[in-house]
Amino acid sequence: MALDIQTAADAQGRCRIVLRGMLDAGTSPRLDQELERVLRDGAPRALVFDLAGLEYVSSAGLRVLFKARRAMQQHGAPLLMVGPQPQVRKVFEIVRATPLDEIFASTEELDRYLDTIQRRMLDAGDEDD
Amino acid sequence: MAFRSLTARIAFWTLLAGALVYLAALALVFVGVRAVLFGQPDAALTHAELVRRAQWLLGGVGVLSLLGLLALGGFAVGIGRRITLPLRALNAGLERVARGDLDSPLAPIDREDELGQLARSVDGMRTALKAHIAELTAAVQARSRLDGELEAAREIQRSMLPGGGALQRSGSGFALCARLMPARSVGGDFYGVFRHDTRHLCFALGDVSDKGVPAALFMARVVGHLEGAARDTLDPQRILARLNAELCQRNDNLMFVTLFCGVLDLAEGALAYASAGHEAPLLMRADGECVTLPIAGGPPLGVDPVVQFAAQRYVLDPGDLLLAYTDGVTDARAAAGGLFGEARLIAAALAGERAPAAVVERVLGSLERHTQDSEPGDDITLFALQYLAMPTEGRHAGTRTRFVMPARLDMLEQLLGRVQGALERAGAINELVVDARLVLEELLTNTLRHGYADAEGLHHITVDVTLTLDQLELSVDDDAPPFDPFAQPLTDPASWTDADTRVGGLGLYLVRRLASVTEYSRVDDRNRTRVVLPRWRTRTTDR
Repeated sequence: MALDIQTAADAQGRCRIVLRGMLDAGTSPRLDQELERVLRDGAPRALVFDLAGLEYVSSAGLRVLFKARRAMQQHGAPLLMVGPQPQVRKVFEIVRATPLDEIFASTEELDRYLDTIQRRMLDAGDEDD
Repeated sequence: MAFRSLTARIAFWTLLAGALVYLAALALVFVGVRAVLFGQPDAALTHAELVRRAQWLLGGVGVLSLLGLLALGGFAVGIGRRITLPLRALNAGLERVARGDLDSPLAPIDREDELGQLARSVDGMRTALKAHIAELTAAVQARSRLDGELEAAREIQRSMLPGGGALQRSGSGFALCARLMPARSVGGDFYGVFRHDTRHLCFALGDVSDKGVPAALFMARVVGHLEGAARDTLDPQRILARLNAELCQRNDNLMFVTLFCGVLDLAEGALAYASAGHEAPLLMRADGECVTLPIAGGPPLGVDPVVQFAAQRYVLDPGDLLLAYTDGVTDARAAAGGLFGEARLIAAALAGERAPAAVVERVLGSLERHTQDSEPGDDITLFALQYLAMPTEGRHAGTRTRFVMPARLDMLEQLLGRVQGALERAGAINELVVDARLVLEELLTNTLRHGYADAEGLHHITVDVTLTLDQLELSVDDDAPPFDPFAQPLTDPASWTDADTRVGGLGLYLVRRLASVTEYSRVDDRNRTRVVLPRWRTRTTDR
């Protein structure tokens, strides 16, 4: 089974990557390349993985996601995951290498979180002025 | 002279004609008698003359009477014709009406008397009849359209239920029979049966509040979510909680549903169950006793999103039969007013062979005798499930399938697909299939990358997959250089300095966490890696 990757940047400078299918030893190199392309022109303000359509992940896929997270951390920007299916969530939970507060059940929940972050940043900016 | 009433007119003209004739006769008699008796008193009248005059007189009276009679006769004919002619026209018109022709108006009788009134009334009746029939036709058409739609809805609803509302099924370790009869053409009762695998049977039976179309629509929602809620879990408590969360969303009408849900382990007879406000099922034990299944109870689904449901367990003996039902059974009313009740239900259930179809038929028969022809007030649903001993050889013997692949990375995907297909066909739940794929991908990627990196010539890897009722055993056999994937102590990846530095670190960690048993041995210059996955563990999301 294959992996389908769709990347889209939004007006707030966030990058959203929608993954569908299987992220395993065979398909993860393609995601790796895609992430290199995204990060080459500077890190987005946030990187969001939409995992609702992802049916399977193995350690090869996890490694690519971790690599992306490390890159984002170096830029001080968050990497967030939304809507993982139970079998994918289970793998995340077993390796415990992904803080659970970076995983959101739904897009609405994620949007609320991002709005809060943005407002906090704006408030901080006001105080500086 | 204008009389409105025909009777008055006939009376008037008859009196007038009679009086005239009478007066004429009277005058004639008077003149005649006078002439005979007092005419020419001096002259001596001969006897012959007298007789002649008397004859004249009598002849005159006779002629006059005859004339009067003729006049009356003619008059009577005239009156008669004035009555019968319009009546004949009216009759012809009524005959047209009787033939169903309501469109041509009746010949009008332009008179003020009874006949005129009669004609107008009859024509009024014709137009009223026509309007009434038109109304009735429209109502019948609307009704039949609604009936047609309800019939279609009923078909759709039937199609949502296994067996279309009359299900009879048996398999290794069980036999069941379910019957649902809606009170109106559509209803709010339902049942469902799901097989996660060959060992477990999940079933549910419920009753939506209210009846008719709203109940049917809500029922469709419940049935639609039921299978999803029952997926990947063998815990009825969890199925109810998931379903409840789903039904509480956008439920502004506050519809609710009572539901009994059970999962029967066919290998051991253990019944796990939970009830959301539903009647406790009867348990007809193999020893002949009939008891009510103990129910901890909980509120109906769809009302309170945070409620918890109690999980309960009861171990069935082979032969035990569970009879679940909706309140339409016990609340069925006789024409005289008495409810069917639990006592009659138990009596009917016990009155013969303890087999699902027989029990259901007996209860339905008893119910029918009780209610006679009275319209059922509520949906009626019965669900009988009997636990039967599983054949012993099916309990422990597993199916072993051997897969051989060339030791090349580009052959991995194909092998994983074949294993996955075989496991799905063997009845493994989705979670187990995904876990097995993950374990094999991690083990084989590791071996192929590191063990065969510099290999020359043709090598093969053998994978044995053995699925039993309790576990899944995966064995990988390869001729790569010795490597024990489980030699390192198991440590938390969060404490690792760099996961990528370890050979297969993250993948092998996943394998070891998923497996209940991991073994490695080196036999005949081959690596033998054995991993056992428990078959029935449910997802560990709460930690």
